[in-house]
Amino acid sequence: MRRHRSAALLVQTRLPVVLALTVFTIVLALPFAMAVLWSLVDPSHPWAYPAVLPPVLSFRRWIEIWTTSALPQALANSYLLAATVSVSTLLLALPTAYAFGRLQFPGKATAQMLTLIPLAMPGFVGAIFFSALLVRFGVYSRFAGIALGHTVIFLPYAIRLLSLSFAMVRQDLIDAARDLGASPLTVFRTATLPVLKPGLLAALIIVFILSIEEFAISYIVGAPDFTTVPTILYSYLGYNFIRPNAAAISLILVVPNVLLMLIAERLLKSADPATITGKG
Amino acid sequence: MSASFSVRPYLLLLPGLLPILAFMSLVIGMALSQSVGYFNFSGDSGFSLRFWHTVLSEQQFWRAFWYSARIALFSSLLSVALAYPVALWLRRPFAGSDLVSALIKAPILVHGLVAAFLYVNFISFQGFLNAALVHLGLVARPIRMQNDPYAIGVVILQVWKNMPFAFLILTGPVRAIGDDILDAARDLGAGAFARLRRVILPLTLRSLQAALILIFIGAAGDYSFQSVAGPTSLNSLAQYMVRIQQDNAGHGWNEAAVIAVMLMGLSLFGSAALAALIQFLLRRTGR
Amino acid sequence: MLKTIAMLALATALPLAGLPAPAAAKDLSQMNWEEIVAEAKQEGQINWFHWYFQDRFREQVKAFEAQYGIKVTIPDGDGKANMDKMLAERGRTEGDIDVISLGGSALQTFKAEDLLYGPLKPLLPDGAKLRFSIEGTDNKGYAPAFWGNQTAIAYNPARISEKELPHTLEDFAAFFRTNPGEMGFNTENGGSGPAFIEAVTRALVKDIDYANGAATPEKVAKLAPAWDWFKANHDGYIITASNADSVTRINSGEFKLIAGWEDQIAGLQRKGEISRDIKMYIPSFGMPGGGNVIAIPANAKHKAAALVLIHWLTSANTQTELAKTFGIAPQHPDADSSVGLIAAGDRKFSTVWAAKPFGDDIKKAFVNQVTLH
Repeated sequence: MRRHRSAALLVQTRLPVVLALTVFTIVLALPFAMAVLWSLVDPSHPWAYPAVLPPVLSFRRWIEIWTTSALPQALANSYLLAATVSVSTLLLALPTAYAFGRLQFPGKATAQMLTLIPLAMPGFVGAIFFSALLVRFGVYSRFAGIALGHTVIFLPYAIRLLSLSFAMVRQDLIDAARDLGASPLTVFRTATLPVLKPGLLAALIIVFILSIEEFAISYIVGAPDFTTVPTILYSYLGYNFIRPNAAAISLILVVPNVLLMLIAERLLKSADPATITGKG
Repeated sequence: MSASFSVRPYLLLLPGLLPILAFMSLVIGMALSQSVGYFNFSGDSGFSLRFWHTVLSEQQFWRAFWYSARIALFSSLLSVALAYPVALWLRRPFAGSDLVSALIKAPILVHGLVAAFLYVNFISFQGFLNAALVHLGLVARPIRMQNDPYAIGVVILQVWKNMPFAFLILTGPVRAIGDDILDAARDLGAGAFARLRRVILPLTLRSLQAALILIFIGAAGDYSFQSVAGPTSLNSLAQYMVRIQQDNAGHGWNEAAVIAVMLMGLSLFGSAALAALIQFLLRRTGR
Repeated sequence: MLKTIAMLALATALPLAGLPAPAAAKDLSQMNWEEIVAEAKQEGQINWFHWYFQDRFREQVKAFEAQYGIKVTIPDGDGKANMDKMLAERGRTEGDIDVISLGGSALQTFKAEDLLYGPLKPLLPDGAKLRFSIEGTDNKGYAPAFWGNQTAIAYNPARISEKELPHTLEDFAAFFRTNPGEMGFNTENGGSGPAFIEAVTRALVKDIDYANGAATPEKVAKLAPAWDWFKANHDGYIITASNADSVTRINSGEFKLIAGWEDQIAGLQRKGEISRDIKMYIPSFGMPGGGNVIAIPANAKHKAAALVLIHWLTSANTQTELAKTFGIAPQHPDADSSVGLIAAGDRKFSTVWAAKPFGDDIKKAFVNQVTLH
């Protein structure tokens, strides 16, 4: 009876795991494997009908893309934009997040709702009419235009993440530090900052990734010559479609972001109040 | 002293809230005023409803409108429908559950355009799927699946990208449902479906609605999935808007503005109606 | 979309537009070629807005960079967006574009003297030998041709034999009936599909002057028989996403026929990206061919360097090189002609593109009447 039950339990828990892994393989691992394979197709040996597998594999394409495509410039644009955007977004979000996380005031719920408006705006509507505004105000710098657009549309994320961090700061720790005669700076350093830090870093990274991945504003405002990684990928998927090149650029867009996101997630987990108060 | 104290929170709100409100009202204001003939980039500016008239009497516009509405509806419902069983399954941790939930969340990290490319590459004539089908002897020649006319590819991509998102939103509330409530329901003889309908869905209604609304809005405004993997015989609303704006020199902006306003309307009212409908259905069956 | 922005910029800038360009022109026209080259080296860099094979051209211009020490930046951007940007920036005293590649008939949609610096013909050492009239458009010496190309039908010999190839409209209709979904052509992202659409339109609707670019609703309405033909043969063809998508898919064996550019397919074959087996022909009802020109916007920042790049690009040497690498028709009389993909006997079927903006309206009407219907 007991053995029977544990066998049933085993089937009940293991089977779904196996099933999940199978699904994962089909929807994620295989497509990525295909992309890797395509990106390794040697540029002078086409993979054409009726060949089932590529005739020659090499890293030549990666080198070629790096040296001849606009990818290095697009990467520089994307990362510089993302750095600018994440810092400016965070600076703007901090005071507001503090108010949401630590203060009570009439109209707070409404204000919180209002910060979420950008999430309800379809990306291309925002992008097109934002570009119309830039024309009206004579802003020719695409970098400034895109940075401004990104900062505003990613503010909701930063405000929300930081509000949660501020809310986690424990008032009794602040009071205790203050009672012990600590200066405001010391109070901030000992009671607030340790709790805030993981959230700050996570918000920084998440806004950074969102900015790198943003397509609508970068594409509409940046056209034709200010390219970011997503816009270059879009051109490689459209007018300049060469499948192996698109494969290589796809991989370049995904891998660094996955690594960054894993770090962000780790930071958010470490923001668990239990571990922090344990340290404090 | 006390007066300045009460002002402080509102001053703190300014740096975050003001840019958002200014940006959104300027952008929406621009779209609204261009749709009725103001801020013309060519010709005279002045109030006119002719752009509304032109766009709304265009058959293509309505095809795009209902197409986007359909995609948004299917994508949001399917994503949520798939996310619930998974969230319920992972409600209590077991060996391997961390791995599974990490894998489910993985698509969030993959850029939409990359996902679209991976998908098209996978189903293309030379893709793995066709190679496998031919190899297994299921078909004699590869099947053409790229840019399928029913937009199955677009819905698959939307669900692929959004199901993890719905899972993230639902997983907390689902975990918060107490075992005692579910046990009580089970003891009262409620089957799995009844438990879902009578207990789980009502208790997670807010998150369910949030997930539906967010996915609906995203899918209704889709451009990249549609342009890479969507049917070539149909435009999504965002795609139609960009095309109208680029193809028509003088009045393109104004007509695009009409489409933009309609798209915002679809996002707002469509998602709200969906959320309300779900609530209504649950209330009714819950009784 | 920038095109429309341009209208705004235009309104504010018109009074200014005339002034700076002639002043600068005087400067370069008073110099001899050595002085221009010296000035160009002084400027040291240029932005060349070009819309296809950008990665390959970045390779090609290395020879130029080595010879003159002038750095060439070729941004990624599609042709329409590049032109819209030029239009949008005409109000600035100095724009971002130093050199711009344009389709041969693009100058039908705007006046060269309003937007471009020049004429270049007297400034270029080989100016008298170069071609300034292409695709039925004489640009009056403002923009020399640097690229000759032809649209045609490409076929995959692994899937269809030469004997089975359709040559007349009736052949095509029969081919569509017996080979449903075996031909692909695009409507967006490139002109090869639109070339096929235009060719069919020309063959079916004969009482229209295709050399007249004026587009009226009545004229566009006359094209209806062509749309009926496409609708009747609807199951025969597949609309692809771009020039390149058609090529990728014929290479993978998905299609027997596609509409394509000779230079694009030859260029990809010579690089090894696609199978060298793919061949091309022009059906007897003809397909359009022409070429691209290169010009300097009136408000270019580095005009001397731009002029030197254009001289290098249109020179006999570079044209021979481009013919070898991309299979183009060279545009300098002293360049070696290439052996293209299309048999010499088919060349007589080459037609001139329909004049613009009417030519663009043919494609738009197809999209509205056939694909989105």
